[in-house]
Amino acid sequence: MHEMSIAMELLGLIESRLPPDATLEAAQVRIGPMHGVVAEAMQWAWQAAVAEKGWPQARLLIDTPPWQLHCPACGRQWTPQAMDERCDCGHLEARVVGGDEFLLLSIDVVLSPKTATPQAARSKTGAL
Amino acid sequence: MNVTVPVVENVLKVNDEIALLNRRMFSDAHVYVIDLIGAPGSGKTALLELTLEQLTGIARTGVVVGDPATARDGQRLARFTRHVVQINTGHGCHLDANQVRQAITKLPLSDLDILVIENVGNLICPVGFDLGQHAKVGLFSVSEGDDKAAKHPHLVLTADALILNKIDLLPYVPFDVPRFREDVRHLNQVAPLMEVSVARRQIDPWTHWLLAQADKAKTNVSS
Repeated sequence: MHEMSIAMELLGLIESRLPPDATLEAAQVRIGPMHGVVAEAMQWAWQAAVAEKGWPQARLLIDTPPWQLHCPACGRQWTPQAMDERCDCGHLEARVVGGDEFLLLSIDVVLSPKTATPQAARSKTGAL
Repeated sequence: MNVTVPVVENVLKVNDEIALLNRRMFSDAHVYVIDLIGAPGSGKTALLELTLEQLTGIARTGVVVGDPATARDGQRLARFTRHVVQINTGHGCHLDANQVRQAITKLPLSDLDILVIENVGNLICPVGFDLGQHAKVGLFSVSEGDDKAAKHPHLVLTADALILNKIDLLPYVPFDVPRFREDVRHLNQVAPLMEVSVARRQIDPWTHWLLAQADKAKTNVSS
């Protein structure tokens, strides 16, 4: 069950980006289908991981972009119903592209009253 | 005060950075490294036993082997090379770059030509974790069924080579070889697909490929 190790990796990255004294409310991630992550299992692992960190309220929002096929003959790129779909142009060898993203997009946090402004929080996280 | 902090960062960044260090270490030591990925029972360890036996006197070999528990695979492989490190992952379903980094500190990398990392038996989880290997090799077997390549596209898409093992069982199990080949080719037009039988000791396509890759890697480093 690699969802738990992925959840722990994700939390490690989030902790390194969390402003001081802030509480995590939510994290948005994009996980391509190539990673074989099952959304339900990932949510379960996330709940277990954030509870241990003391953020049981923290939600995980998963964006899963679809597979894409690319036709080398006509250049068409599309989202297939099945992996073995052929291109409309008749070419038989459409290639799978994309789907390997695994990004932490953003985190929603509650800043402590003592903590500085959102601008300072962004500066602390290294975000633009 | 509630704020959204944009991050946009690779979640596996730490693993990938350690993998990069591993890869540099392997290249500096001139050792060619493969990550062998296959399902439990597909014959990874049996293939490696025969491979190590057949490469004796031809190439200097080492193995890092991952299993949830026991040192049995490590013990089997230690009959053919003394350079074996067993990793027990507990509940972990794959090896990561840091586990490999710790394991290779126990190996004399500069005294090896080929290092095989036998990953935990699993066709999904190990695929997303770069270990620093030069090539990823996917192993399937006839007894698993002919749909496994299509059902595990990430492995097939990212593999540098693919092996179909246990072809000696073809007369006894329903396995459509042309269909399997077509599924593989749909996903990966480049990686060689080598059909072997460890039980019949017929693994020449695989050992020839492995030696050729190791030679090519050494030549590229020295030129």
